[in-house]
Amino acid sequence: MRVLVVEDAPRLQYSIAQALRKAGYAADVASNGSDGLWLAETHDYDTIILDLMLPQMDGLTVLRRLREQGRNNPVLILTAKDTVADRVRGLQMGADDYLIKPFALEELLARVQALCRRSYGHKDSRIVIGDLEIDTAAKTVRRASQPVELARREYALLEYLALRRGEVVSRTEIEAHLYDSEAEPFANVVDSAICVLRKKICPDDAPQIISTRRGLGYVIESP
Amino acid sequence: MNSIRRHLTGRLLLGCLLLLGTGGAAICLFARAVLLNEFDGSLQTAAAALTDLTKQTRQVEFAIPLDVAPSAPPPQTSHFFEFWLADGRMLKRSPSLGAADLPFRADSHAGPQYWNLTLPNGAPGRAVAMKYVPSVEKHGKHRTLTPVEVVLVVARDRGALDRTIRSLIGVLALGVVLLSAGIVGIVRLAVRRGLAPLEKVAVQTAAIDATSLQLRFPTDVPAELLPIVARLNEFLARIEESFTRERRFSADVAHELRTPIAELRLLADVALKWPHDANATKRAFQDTLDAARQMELMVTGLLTLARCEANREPGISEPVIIAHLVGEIWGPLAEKASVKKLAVTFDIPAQIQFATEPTMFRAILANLLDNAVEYSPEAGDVRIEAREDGGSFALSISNTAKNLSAEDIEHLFERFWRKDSARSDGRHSGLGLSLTRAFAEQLGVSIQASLGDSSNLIMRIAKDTGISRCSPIVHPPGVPIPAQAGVVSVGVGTA
Repeated sequence: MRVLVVEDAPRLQYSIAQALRKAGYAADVASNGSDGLWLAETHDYDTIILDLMLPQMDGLTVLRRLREQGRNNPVLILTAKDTVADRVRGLQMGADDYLIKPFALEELLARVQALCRRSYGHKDSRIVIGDLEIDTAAKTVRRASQPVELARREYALLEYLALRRGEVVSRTEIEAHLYDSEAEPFANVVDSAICVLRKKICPDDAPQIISTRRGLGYVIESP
Repeated sequence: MNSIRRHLTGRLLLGCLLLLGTGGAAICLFARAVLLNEFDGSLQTAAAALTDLTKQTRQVEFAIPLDVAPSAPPPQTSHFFEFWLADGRMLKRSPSLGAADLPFRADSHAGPQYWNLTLPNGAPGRAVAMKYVPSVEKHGKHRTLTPVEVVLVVARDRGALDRTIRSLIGVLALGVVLLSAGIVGIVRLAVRRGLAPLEKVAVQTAAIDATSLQLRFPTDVPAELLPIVARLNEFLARIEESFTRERRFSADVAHELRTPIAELRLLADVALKWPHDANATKRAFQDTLDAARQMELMVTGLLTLARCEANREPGISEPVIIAHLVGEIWGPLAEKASVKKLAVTFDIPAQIQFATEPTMFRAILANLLDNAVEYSPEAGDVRIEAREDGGSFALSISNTAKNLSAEDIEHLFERFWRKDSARSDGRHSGLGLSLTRAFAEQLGVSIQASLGDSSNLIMRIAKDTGISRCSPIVHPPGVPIPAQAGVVSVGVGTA
């Protein structure tokens, strides 16, 4: 899942991005409204965390521009403005959620998680594919009731494929949603990540659930 | 409780009723006197008619025609008279007296005497007594008659007069009572009507609380209340403004503190959630320190502002040599100006000095110079000039500011106002210019911001008096004299 953080307070911006990355998200940052808008226009973010009081272009303008362009990426407004009028205005302008500073990290992560899930049409935090069970809240995976240990990025890859189960997901899409501007994915990073993931979730005797569509990408479905 | 209405009503009623009572009594007394006078007049007329008819016929014999006595009264009439000689011998009495006598009064030399008495028939009456010498019949042998004095007392029933006076008193008393009732009503109504605007203002004033400060009193009030209402409105406006400012201030402070608090909380959350990342933890501590410093900066600024606005007395004034002070403040800023390639011009005559409290004045200049360097774009212009002209002092600091509009200038001195409505890097609390202005007000110095012709912001501080030419200048030891003092120098990033 790739998240954009538009926040002008440098320490806050850094901490949020760091927390998101540690929680398994790819996170891009922007320090002003125009940069934020440009990034949001050029990438298909799973969630955008948007401050309202921003230099150059305020958050509500960024939001309005995005919605005018028909972009429906989930937007979480993160601001110090706490009046009901502010919240209502933000939500009416097309925001999906509103969080007031100061906030609890767990709450921010949970809200970002919920927004990401919902952008793929899931409301339940559990995804079950055959005997594979993914808990997107706890970020744990079980295969045939046995826990599967996955690295952060491997989990993110599995979660992304699982959220789009039954759909063919291209390498480009995977790259766009799992790697932020700080990571520099080399050519076959996706292929090798898929390879590692397959070995971990499908030991030799288990049926394979991630299949390759040559020239198109990968798809996850019940065997 | 002391009440204007009660006081006014009481005084007015007392005054009106006293006037009415006195007037009524005066009318009563006057009318009684007139009536009595008239009654006495008719008594006297009757007596005079009797005296005219009296004639001395012989020695101590008189012809008194009883039948022509006044109005020829019948025996039971209310008219009585009796004649005596001066020594008290009774000569004649009216038939209405029967055998009774009227009181004899021989001491009426001066003229007729009137008095009240009880008539022989028991009724109240009024009598007149007069002493006179009757005319003597002039015929024959009685020529030698010596004239003698005769005393005449005429009395009349005064029941009718008493009744008239009583009815008059009754009518007057009734009138007084009715008028009094009317006056009470009118006075109360008039007082109530008259005090109505005052009571309206009182009710409105009582209804004012912190939530209704936007209310204003209507000004269509009587002229006497107008100054009160105008002043109340003025106070309300001032209180409302102060409340609004305080509310906005609290909101601003809370809002400004949210971001550093969010930072602190998030830093701690992240460090607790992923405690094993040594580098991140180290950075988290550094960031925590920075956030705490930013909050400290803000709180210190707010406290200073609060102290300054509480009108504390400024410290002791002493002469400040402007060129020296600017040189000292510029020192730490020079490097930054040099990095930004600013073209800096100083135009400060060396002899200018200004008597003021040095700490606050230094804070003002330091803030303005720091802002000029901070907010000038790369390769911008900064110009500092001081002027002294006939007892007035002015110092202006101008710097390139391309993005500022005239509207921004109005907000420059507001607490927490920033051009981008966004936080800065934490080095500035958004209180600098508010503090600068508060300091300036404290020192009695005016401070104004304006936009120059070439997209430059000009900050001008000025004072009319308090400047004196220092001659000769004694430079304090250890204070470097800036190279610019006394000359105009243009340099790039040098000081």
